[in-house]
Amino acid sequence: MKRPPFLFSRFLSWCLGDTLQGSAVVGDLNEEYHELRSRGFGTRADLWFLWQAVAIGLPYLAERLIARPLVQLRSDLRFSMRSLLRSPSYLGVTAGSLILGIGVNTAIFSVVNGVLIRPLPYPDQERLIDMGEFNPAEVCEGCGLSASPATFQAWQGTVGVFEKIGASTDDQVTLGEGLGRRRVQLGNATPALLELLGANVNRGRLFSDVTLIDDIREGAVVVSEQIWRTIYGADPEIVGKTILVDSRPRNVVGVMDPGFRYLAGVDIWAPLELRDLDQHARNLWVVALTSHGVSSDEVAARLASIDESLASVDPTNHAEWETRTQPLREAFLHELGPPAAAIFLMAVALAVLLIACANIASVSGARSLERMREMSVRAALGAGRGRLFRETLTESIVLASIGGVAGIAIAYGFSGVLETKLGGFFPPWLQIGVDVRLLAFSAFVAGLTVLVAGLVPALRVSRVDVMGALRRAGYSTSSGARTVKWQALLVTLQIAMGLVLVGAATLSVRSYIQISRFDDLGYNPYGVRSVGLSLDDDSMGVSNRNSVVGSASESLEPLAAGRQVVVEQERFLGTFGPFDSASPVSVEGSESPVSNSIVPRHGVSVSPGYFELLEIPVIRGRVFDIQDERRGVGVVVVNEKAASVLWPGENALGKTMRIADENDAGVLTVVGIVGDIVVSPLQASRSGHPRIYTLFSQSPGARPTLLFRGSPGTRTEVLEMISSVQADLTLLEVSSLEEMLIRWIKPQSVAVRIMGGMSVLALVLASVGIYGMLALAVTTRRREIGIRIALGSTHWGVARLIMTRVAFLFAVGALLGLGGSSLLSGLGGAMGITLGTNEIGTLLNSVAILALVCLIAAGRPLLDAVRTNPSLTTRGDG
Amino acid sequence: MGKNAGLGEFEQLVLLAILQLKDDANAPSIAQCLEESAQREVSRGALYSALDRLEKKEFLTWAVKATAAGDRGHPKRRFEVTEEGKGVLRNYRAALLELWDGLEEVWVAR
Repeated sequence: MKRPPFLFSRFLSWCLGDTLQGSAVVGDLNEEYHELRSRGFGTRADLWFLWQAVAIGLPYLAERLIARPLVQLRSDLRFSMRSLLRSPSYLGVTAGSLILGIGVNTAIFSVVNGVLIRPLPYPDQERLIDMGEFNPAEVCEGCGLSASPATFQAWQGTVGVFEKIGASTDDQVTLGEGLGRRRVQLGNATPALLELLGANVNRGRLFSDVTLIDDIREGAVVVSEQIWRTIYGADPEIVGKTILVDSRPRNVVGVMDPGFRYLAGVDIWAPLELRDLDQHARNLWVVALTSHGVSSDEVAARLASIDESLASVDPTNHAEWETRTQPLREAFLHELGPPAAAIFLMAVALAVLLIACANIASVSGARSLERMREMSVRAALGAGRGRLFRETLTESIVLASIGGVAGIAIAYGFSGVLETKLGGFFPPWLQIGVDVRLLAFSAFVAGLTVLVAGLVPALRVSRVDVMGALRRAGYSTSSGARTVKWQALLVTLQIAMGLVLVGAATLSVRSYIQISRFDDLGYNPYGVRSVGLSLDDDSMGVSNRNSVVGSASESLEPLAAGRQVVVEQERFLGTFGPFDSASPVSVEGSESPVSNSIVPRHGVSVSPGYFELLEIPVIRGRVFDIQDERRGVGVVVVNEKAASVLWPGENALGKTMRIADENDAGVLTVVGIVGDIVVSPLQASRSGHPRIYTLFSQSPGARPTLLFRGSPGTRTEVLEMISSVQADLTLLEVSSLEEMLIRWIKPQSVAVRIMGGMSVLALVLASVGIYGMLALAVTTRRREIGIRIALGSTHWGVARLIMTRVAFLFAVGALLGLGGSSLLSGLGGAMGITLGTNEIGTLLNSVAILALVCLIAAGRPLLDAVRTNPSLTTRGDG
Repeated sequence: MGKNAGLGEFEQLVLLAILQLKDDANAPSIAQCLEESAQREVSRGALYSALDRLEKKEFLTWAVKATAAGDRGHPKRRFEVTEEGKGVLRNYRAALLELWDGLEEVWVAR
């Protein structure tokens, strides 16, 4: 008799499984097949069988492969949850460790992701390059690349290499009129720049090459979304309205999309008019989109040929300059400073995770030993090893999922806090938030945790020796040699990692203390108030300006309680931001101007009383006095550094110099030498820069800052006080030098708090893990202790045996940890951070805390074991 | 599950076929009965799925019948409609009759 098609018959049997019902169904179908064949159907019977076997088998197969595992998973999950909830302390420690470990990592990774991984928020960002001119003789530290309009226009003519090339500048302007006016940031950009950076508008339109001529003629501007909301109350009819910018009517053509992030804090965008600019002043920021398939070598070759032709046509302005390019991302990262801090934080976060994993592994290990009897009973009743393995692993997966979800929530909160606390410090392109990479990272970390912390206990449980465990259950699941090694490794690792983290945090706290100490800056910033002003008319003559600023100073005298109000050009100490307007100086007996790489800026122009107010010491000669203003003779004060750079080995007093771009001042005579000051508290070497102080009344400049010691005064009070000269001035900022310095180091202070938090966390986690592991290690030796005592060992002898081992583990861990910390402090020393006695004390305190944890963890179960009657412990009842 | 579970058209036909076949209600004979009365090919996949569903709904039950030589020795299931299954069939019938009531022109014309 012909059998049904073999393959399909096997397939059906496989789908239905080895059950009575399965055999019945296969038998029924075979019977029907034979019936068909007996009625004379040959191939048709085969086809019928084939079709029916598939139709019956597939639903069963789907159930076996999908529905049943899902049901199983649900039951495993329910079982795991119930089992976890039955041990709240275990759940608390493991879930807490995981939440902290994964949360800290995800949060720190969100920063690393934003800085190093996340693409820039521009289309085709990998083809965007930053371009500028470079002159080896005029190196400007901290300055980005910039180019002159003449060079930019030469680049614009390049065909084939660039798809688009655009330029921008920024400036401060006064928006509005009367008392409602305010200083805002104006960004000037070519239409190509906005286009290649993917700028978009919420309403209205952007500038384009087609409308450019009309836009420039009609004074078209695009306002930022923020200005549109805050100043214009989200006016839906804003497009087409006229606004006053620097007292000139400008026509609003659009509202910029808030997603467009390029220049920091730009409130108004206007088309860049190259013809209005000094054609050789290098202050354009140029970005280009290279054409598809064009290599960087081709770009460099093309630009080199442009350099040559520019140098041959106009050697005066171009001979010394060459074009430099760099990927836009690199340019941005360069501005942000070294990425080392972000990587350091990430390493610390990973160390926290490692400690958390060690914790979970040790606590889970302890739990699996505790549950050995339960598992043995279940195994004896028929539970398969696979099932026990699956259940234990599911527990870890549940824990890791809780950790992963909480991690993402923490990262969300963290990025929100960073945005609120430090938003103003971030460059506009930097986006810190949750994205796909972050989710993937969180999942990866959670998965890794399951693998590291969950697999070992799962394997241990699945290999349970039923009879042995049942026989010994409850008293002597003595650790095998491998377990003992694992325990020793975990304890050592936790002690070492905990101490390294404390060391790292101590170092960062120390560095913060160093930068937050404002008493060795060379001046006394404490109690000095600062009122930043801006003259609305940049072209106002020096004498007019002096009288306006003089009136403003006088009106603020009530706040200064009768003491002097002094003036300083620009904001506090004049050197915020790159030295983009460096003015070369020429000294007596020297033909060429001193390079501005030595004297970055001519310094700052100040009024008499400035040095006294800031308590900058006079080293030789004198400082400015009222007579200097009256006499009108050009005088200058230099700091020690400038004196030693400009006149090395000579007495600078009485020497003369000229400062380019300040022709009014003519020849300036050095009347005094003052002490060096450190402007930035973040300056790694606090040696100070060369500085040249000119007299405010003899120097140009439209951004005076009034400084005085006295009562704070609110913005409204200050506004009222200077109301007599308000027609000419805009109040920029009312603050104090201390506030400015604190604001300056705010990112560092936040980073230090994060580090401090993480190290405390690490110490707590390590303590919990060490406690759990050591307590378990001693508890599992209860029977051995009992036997030893029964055989005649003294309590002291047993205690010495156990505690020697604990002391050895602790010593190895502490040595490793202290070694790691000293390596870190070596690194810190290279960065100018030295540990003081306080910091070393902190480290030793941490060692003491961990030693105490070890002592209690091992001591308690040990005491318990030696006090119990050996006959109970050896029998397993104790 | 039984009390609140609904009954599909095919499931009703399967239950009625089992009742008709009495002691002879095994899967091949149910399929044959359905094919003869409904005049259509019955997929064995659909039939076995319906039998499993009805069992889960507790509308039918089965027992393995002692095998005879003619059955080539494989275990054969004999299906039986439970009281709950009969109850739900009665309810459906009553509902159908009520709905058909007064619609003579429809079924007479047919």
